[in-house]
Amino acid sequence: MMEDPYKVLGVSASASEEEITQAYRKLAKKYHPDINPGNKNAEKKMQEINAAYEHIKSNKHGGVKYEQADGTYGPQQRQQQSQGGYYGWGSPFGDNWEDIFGNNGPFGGFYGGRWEQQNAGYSQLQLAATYIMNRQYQQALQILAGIHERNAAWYYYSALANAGTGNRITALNHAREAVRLDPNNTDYQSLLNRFEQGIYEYRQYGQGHGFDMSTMGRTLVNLWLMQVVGVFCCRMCAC
Amino acid sequence: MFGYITADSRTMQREDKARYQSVYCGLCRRLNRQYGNPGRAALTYDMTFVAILLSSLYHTEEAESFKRCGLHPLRKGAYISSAVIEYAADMNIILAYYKYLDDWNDDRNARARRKSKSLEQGRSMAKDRWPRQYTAISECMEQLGQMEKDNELNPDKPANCFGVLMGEVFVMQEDSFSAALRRMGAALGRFIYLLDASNDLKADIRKERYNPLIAQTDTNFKPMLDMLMSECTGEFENLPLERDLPILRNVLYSGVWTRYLKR
Repeated sequence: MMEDPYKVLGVSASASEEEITQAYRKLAKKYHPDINPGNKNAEKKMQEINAAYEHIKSNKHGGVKYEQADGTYGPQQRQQQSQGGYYGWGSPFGDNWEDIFGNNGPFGGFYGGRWEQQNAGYSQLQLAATYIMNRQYQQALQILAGIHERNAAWYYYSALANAGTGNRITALNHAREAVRLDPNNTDYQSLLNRFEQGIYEYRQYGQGHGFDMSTMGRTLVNLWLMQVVGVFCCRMCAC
Repeated sequence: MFGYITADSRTMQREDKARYQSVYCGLCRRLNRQYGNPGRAALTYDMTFVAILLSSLYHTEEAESFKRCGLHPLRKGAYISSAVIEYAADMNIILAYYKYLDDWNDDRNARARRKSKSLEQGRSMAKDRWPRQYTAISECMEQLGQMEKDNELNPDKPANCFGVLMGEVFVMQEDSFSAALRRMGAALGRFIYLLDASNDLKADIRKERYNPLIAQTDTNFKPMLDMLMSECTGEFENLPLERDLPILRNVLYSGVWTRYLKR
């Protein structure tokens, strides 16, 4: 973090949560890649803004980075235990993915030898890995939050811990990042494949049942037309 | 967030379309009977899917009647009555109530406020009948509101929250199917929530509104959405269903993408 995050967002260090949010959204309106397609500078700037925002938020909330799961909302306390066999494909999220990886879990031969050469954060990563092996994903996430060096291995463990707590999007993103940072690592690729397997199977299955899975969705014009026509239409005719 | 669980009628067989419509009409009739015009106005296709799914799963006894509809006087169509239809109607009311409340909170839309008020009685009746589902819906909507206020940029949090909401709606009664239905509903809920967010992203950035996907570096959300649907269909294909499979598959593999805006 080179620059002062408050400066990046253009707020004072004493700014309220609301002011910070507003500042963030104002900047996003200017630099977000969606509004600036193809603009590499805007993309870079947006990354800076996101990093600054995350930094400020995590400091305000006592070290909990926004990638953390917060399994504390009421109904979700009813831990959604994923059990039982899945026909065709299995969910790699929740507590059932050990079955998919077999007896060695996702660590197989990885745990132990390879990254002993790492210096900073070595024992912390190992601790996180241990928590993950024991299915204590929240603890693993806490440990991971405290590790500042975000290398491929960090993203790998983060993906696993997030998957265990049901943070699917974060898990997928981090698995992708691990592979991006270390493309030759078969464990990382294996994990990413596991997450992406569902995508493949969903499309295959749909195709198998006669649905054209390659053209799902509409363009903006289509959608608008559909909604305009929908006012007049009973929606049940073959149009 | 509502109106996404729909069928793609272009690829449906005629009998399936008729069946789908008869359930929809059944819901409409029930809503009108129980909750009057405001109830009928709250009708969506989302709960039609749930009704068909649960009716199939539980081999629910149904009564088919024929009536001329006030809104469609030229058609004399079939409509279904059953315990599941009654359940789906009640869920429809609660969800509609919170949708209008959400609209009202979002942009102080006066019409939304009137609509939510008109559903007060219905909401209260449905609440008494289905306290577990009602609590889940109201608590989740509240938490979602809070996350919007807090500008929660981890998309998993609000998505999982809405997932819990849908999961509870899918479980009419606690039994051996509950766990699977919860997982299926939750997966669908996550999908819908983020599909909605994906569709709204550009506009939300421009209007400086909350969007959980704003901090995502990769804005090609299709694989993510496919992944979320795959969890839903993974559960679905495991359920011991016989009836209405073509309709249900139509919705899950095609219909839910009807309003997906390609990026």
